[in-house]
Amino acid sequence: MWSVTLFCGQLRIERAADWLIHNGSSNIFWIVVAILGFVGSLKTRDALRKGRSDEFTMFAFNKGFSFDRGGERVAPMMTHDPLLGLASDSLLGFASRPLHPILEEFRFDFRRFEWNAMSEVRDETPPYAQSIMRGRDADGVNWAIFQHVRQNSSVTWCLIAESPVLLPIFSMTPETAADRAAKSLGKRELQVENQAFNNRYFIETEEPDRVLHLLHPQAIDRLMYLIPAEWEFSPRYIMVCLPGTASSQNLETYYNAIKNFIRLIPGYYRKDFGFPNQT
Amino acid sequence: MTLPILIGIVVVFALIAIVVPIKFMNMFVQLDKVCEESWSGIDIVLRRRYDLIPNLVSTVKGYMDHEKSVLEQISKLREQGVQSRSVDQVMDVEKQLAPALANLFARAEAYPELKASAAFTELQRELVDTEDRVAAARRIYNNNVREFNTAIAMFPGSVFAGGRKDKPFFEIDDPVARRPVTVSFSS
Repeated sequence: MWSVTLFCGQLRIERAADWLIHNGSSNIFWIVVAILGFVGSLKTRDALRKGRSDEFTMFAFNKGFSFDRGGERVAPMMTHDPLLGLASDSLLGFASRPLHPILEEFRFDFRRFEWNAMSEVRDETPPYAQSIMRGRDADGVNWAIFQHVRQNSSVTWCLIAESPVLLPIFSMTPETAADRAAKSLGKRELQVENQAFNNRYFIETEEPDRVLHLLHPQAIDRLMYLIPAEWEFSPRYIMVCLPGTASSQNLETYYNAIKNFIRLIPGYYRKDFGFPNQT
Repeated sequence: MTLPILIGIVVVFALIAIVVPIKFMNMFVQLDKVCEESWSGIDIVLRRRYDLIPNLVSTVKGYMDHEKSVLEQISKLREQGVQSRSVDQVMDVEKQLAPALANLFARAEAYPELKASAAFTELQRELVDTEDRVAAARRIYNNNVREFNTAIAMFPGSVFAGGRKDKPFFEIDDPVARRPVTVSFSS
């Protein structure tokens, strides 16, 4: 068997040599060009990646945040789950590693980071976080900014700010054709007094009255200046999600948008729902 | 088709004919109560403002002798506001009272001693706070009214709405909406 393989290999090399001799040196030239082009594109991609990474490093350092460029791919924490024994990793004899601390931290605050035993039973690839920036800005707001990578390889930038007040749970997403169709069939959404805003965003909440304290005309005006993005509010945090291709300028824009939203929370709401020792 | 199947179909249709109207009737009642509740929310914050106005007038009186007409107008509108009950009456008063208060604060700029008074500053802050509360309560009321009006106008709710009529929105010239937006370009 080995001798046959060796014979075939020799035959191919000989044929390749013949082909090169008969087709002249122009072919060699084109092969070299193709190789150089391939290597060049790899180098350019690396350079672009490095450039973007530097851009985000600058963004983080300007804000005084720490920045972890490297990604860490880890499995979800299953220790509290009764279905732990059914986890495919466990069945194969590999213990599940804990979920990345940042995803674990916000797991119960936002639907986006939900991960449970059934996900692992379904053999889903666990999500992970990369390019993590953390810190407290000059206004005393705590931030966590990172890329959330899900099983389908979709990458999303998540900007999370700690709120100085107790927020109602609600989400505000760019309105899609499906949302409009659902609305026409009677699906309820929260509407504000600005029709353009209603057409742009789909607001879902169980606490419409409290949301309307926050979505006052000034806040809506500010939001109308921005390209629609996904906003999600939990009692303690505000999160904006942007596509993974977002630049540091996009992050800067929404970083300021969240800060302005916090700044525009009415004084009486801060008085009624503010956390102690918060500005 | 056998008799039991026929009876089954009749029973199902009869149940639907009973359950669906009940569901809609209860939904209308519930939405109606929510509107009433949110109206009382407006009433509470308006009363709070009416309570602040006499203090404001007495604080300002000593400094603004030349603005007697403005103060009298505010006191008169307050009286009307306290006595008004319906949405239309309250709306009428609000349309005049909010600009009158804004006018008073604008004129107060010409009285440095008044502006320096701690009592006046505190009252002004309280009133601005209350204006924001009024605006929020109004938004909540209007949102609930919109839900009610949509429910009675949209099919199939419109079939069961009976004699229910649209509720009026509480629309005034919102001073909060007119407040200029502060733009900051700092990062």
